Amino acid sequence: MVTKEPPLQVLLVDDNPGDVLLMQETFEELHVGVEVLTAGDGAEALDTLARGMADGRLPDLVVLDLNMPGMNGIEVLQAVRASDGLRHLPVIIMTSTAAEEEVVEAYRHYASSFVTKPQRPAEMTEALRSLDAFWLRIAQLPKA
Amino acid sequence: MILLIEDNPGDALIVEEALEDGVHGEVACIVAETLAEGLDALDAHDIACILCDLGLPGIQGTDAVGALVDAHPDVPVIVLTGQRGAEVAVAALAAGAQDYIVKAADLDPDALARAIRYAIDRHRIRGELRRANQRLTEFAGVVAHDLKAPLAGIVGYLKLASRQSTDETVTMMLDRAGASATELASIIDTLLDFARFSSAGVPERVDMAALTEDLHLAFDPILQQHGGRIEVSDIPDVMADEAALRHAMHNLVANALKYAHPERPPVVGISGVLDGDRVRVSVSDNGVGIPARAREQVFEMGVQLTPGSQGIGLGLPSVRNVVQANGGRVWVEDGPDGLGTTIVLSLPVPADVRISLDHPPTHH
Repeated sequence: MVTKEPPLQVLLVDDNPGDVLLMQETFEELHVGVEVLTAGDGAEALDTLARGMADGRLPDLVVLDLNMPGMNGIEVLQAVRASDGLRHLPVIIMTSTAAEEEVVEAYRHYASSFVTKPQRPAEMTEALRSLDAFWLRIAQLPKA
Repeated sequence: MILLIEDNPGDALIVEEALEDGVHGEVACIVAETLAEGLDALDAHDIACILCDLGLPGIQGTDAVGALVDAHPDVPVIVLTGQRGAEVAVAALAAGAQDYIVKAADLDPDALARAIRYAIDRHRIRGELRRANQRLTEFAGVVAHDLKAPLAGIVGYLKLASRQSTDETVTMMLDRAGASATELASIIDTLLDFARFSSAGVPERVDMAALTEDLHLAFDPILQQHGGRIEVSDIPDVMADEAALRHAMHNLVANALKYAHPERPPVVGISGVLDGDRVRVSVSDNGVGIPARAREQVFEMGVQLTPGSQGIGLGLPSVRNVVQANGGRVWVEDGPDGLGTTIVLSLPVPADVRISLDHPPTHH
């Protein structure tokens, strides 16, 4: 069956599997019909995006943990912004600390938004609710 | 101890004598003939107040005031000017001086002493107010943080109870209670955000060309997806806490997108003009707009214009707090061509921009 509008897709990138699972469940609970992809590190995230580009189906929103081993969030963000096919993606940087330097660093590398990663599961719902309401709504604007 | 910076020995004598009479010899005064000497004296002594001549050789009066305020923001400055210096004196006030006194042979000792006393008091009160504001913001942050843990418990147990309930009415009531608790959690999040970005750090010079270029690169590709674009023009640098200002500007542009008109491709404009010692930074859009009656309300916490839309408010309360914490103002105007919205931030300009404005360079 071909649906007229494909479901919105979110890519979550975080090296902590617990955080990923929690965000995934929270997202799916908040938005029935939103498809959640996950990646455990920066390289995997870029692989997923490269595949998406090849298939002509990119996520509508990328949520990126800042502190990851290997490629960190800023490096992934740089790669996304340097790619002609990806630079239009809304990318939200998440950190657990939200130090001033991190905020400035994220925005200097063209992050769309910055949020503090919640410390407790129940807070995750609210954090995701506020950010996705925003960005998913933008994804739903009429396309050019 | 009072520091007098005055290059003219005659003028220095007039002021010194008036000072001695005015404070009845209770306060010592040291005299410096140049700004450099004055700055050295500030480092070496415990100075309660600076009296600074506006006609020091080799430096513009406002420039000298700016240097003193920058080097020792905790010491009030009173400027001394000749009979015809009123305009310069006003510029000096804008540059951070507390007061000005016109030098004359009949300089009133009591008036001088009073001006010094007032300047010191005002300066002290302003500092206390700033510290009190900071404590209040920190308090709001702590309270919001402490409220979150018990609330998380409430939300969790309501959900659990709703799942186990077999009575439809009870389930409905538990779900409503859960929704209210979740809403409360979202308000607390906003409060935390508000506290975090209101406690602005020390204002520094923010390179607005870099900031707007970053905004352009972050948002233009997204806007192009929807047939829109972001237009950025030159904006003079401002004094602000950079992290907070960037966060605020991102909020504003994202808001412009969030409230895009369903039938118009979103166009966001960022521009800025000098307005005296301020820069007016405008973020405009051609979106759904904000009705005139709601233009004050949008800066109040918890106000949301679109009923049922998720998230709380427009993020504008925290934008206002960022701007106010940096000594600025923010308000709403019509968008370009009467469509959409323009949010205007008025922020202080750095001292050197201000000085070149007051005294445009002259070429001989």
